[in-house]
Amino acid sequence: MPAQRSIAEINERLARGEAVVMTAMEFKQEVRNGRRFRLGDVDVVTTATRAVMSGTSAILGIPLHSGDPARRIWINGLPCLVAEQGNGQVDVVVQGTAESRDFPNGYGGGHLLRDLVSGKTVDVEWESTDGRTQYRTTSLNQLPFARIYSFRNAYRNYSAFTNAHNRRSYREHPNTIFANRALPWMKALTVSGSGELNPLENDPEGRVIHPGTRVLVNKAEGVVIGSGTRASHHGPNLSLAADLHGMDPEFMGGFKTRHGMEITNSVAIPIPVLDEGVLQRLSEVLDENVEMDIADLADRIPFTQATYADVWDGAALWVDFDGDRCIVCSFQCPAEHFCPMGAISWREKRIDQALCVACGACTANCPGGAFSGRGHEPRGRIGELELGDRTMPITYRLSNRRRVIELAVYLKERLTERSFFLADAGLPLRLTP
Amino acid sequence: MTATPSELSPTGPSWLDVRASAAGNAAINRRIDDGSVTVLTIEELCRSPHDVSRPGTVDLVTLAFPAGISGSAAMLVVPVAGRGVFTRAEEIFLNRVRGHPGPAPNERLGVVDTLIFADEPAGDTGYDGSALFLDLIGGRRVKVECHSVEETVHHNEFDLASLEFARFYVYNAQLPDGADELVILRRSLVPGMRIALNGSQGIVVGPGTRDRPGAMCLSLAADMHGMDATLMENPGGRPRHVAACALPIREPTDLDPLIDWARSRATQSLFSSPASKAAMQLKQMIRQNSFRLSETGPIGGKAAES
Repeated sequence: MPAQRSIAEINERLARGEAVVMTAMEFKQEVRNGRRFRLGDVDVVTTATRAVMSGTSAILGIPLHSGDPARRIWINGLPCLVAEQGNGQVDVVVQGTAESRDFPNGYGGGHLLRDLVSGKTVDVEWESTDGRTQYRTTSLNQLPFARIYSFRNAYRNYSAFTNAHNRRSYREHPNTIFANRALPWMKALTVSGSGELNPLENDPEGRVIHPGTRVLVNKAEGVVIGSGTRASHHGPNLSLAADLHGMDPEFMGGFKTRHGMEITNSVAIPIPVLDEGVLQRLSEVLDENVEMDIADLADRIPFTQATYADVWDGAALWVDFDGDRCIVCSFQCPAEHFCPMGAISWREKRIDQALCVACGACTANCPGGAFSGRGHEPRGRIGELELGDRTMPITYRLSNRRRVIELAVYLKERLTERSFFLADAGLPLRLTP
Repeated sequence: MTATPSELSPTGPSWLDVRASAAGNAAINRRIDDGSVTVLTIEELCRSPHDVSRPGTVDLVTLAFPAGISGSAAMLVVPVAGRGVFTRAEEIFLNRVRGHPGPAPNERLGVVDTLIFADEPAGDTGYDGSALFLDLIGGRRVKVECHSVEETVHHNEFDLASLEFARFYVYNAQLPDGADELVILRRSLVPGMRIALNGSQGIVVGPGTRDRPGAMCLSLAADMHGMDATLMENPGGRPRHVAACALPIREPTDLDPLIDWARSRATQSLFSSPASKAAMQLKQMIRQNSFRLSETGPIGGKAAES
């Protein structure tokens, strides 16, 4: 179907202040209210996702006048890959999943990037070819270059996982990023995906999301480079780039898992309504229609399905800490220990909401029931879904819908106040069958 | 690239600003579609500048920059073994050049996301990442050795055509001296701008790692499938890369500074054999309607310089 409207046309309407921009939340709500959108009713719909995104790296340009070339470099103990050096600068790659030798299973690439964006100073240690080790500190405003390059981000919604085959390893020592705690047989479900708000769910074939599409990554303007590694028609994902300067630390960070360090990012993508096909897809993608495969964690083979309405309809988007219910677990607070974001302080009886991703791990890990989804009674889980005659507790959410909503609203504001315009290189996404 | 709303003028860019940057490219794309577009390579432009000084005579000027291959890397999804054979890769070597597994762990998939730098040497053999890239793009088979976290060692062979993902990332493509003084280059080579890198279509990602006043440099990305090894070959030296772009001409006054610069400060680079070939290839792509301009509004809400 040929495009009936163009990016240039919509940019002109944005510049004149005439464009109709809706968040995905607003658009979907109107569809549920019975509205049938026609081409021309809306120009842009803003979508977003925030989740664990393993395939993230950053290139940092570090001014180093060390004399001899650097052979190895660490930042806050994280091993860096030396990409290029010379003329007083070393370019290094930091992997989002890298782990600090100084803080094993406590500090990773995601933590470093958040610290940099927060304006903190970081320690650089390098070993030069003559064997000397040197040290200095630096911070983001001293780096001439700092950009996230992701090779596999912003997946279309993902599968949910549980210990369906009652494997002992998952019951006792789950060694996977999809578990925060031991997984009893069919009594703990890990879910991922922002459902109807997810960018690629609304454009799975790359009808309008292309290389060159302008996006927000952690609130900074960035660009889609192309499809990501392992991107397929069934599971499309993106390779993105955006400068760290201008990111918001609350939308990113390190994420501790049972299988090492991970990283979370937030991505917002405008969907320009160029033709009937785009509009139809936007109208069809509602949480209640978006299927979520539920698979065994070991073999990853789906054995049943639910929908994202089962995950997000009425779900708590915040988690609260009721200090009166804290039973002071011999000063070994499991909720604090297992919090993937390090957001909990049992001593202060508080959650740092700037860090919290409302994954719900604390609700399942606290024996005293001091943690609960906002507006809900404590019940040892962040949610639940019905599977036939069985109620399956949701104990771990790897996507953060609260930040997704905030980001979709933020992108709408940027578009309507004319500080963000559309871009598209018109190249296709490369997706394998 | 990342202006926040508070830094911007309350009224935003004018309609004219946006029209110039987006609608201008859209209008040229329509002429590409209907075959009426006028494209010249930079050499053709410099040979006969007087023929094109009237408004509307030329839509696009193609030019290409050859640059040293340092400052580039490839991300490859390398097939190593069958699904489930090992958990994660610990180390990986392609033709003895060390690659870096990750960042995605690819648990039990048997394929390894591998980042390889052009400057990575294969021991003291004289072979390195850049030679590996040239071998791959030239269609030659490459040997893999992979060490897993279980301490098993796996061997395999593959060629570029068999890879599901192979992308070339240039993070430091230096432009010829004086490029940053040219408004048309700064206006055109913005993030999201479509380019051809070694003959394969890709985009400008943004400024490069060593971008400074007086030393313009870009970061670029394009799929390795479809790259032209002959553009990269450099007899007697390391391989290079060649980035070709098409500059939209909005005003006849865009042309004189471009011609002056090309003749006085960029001759060696722009008129070299690979640059001429890449600029001509891009011109052919445009005339065959297989290359279009990106349609892009101003970045950070700021109108491009004019």
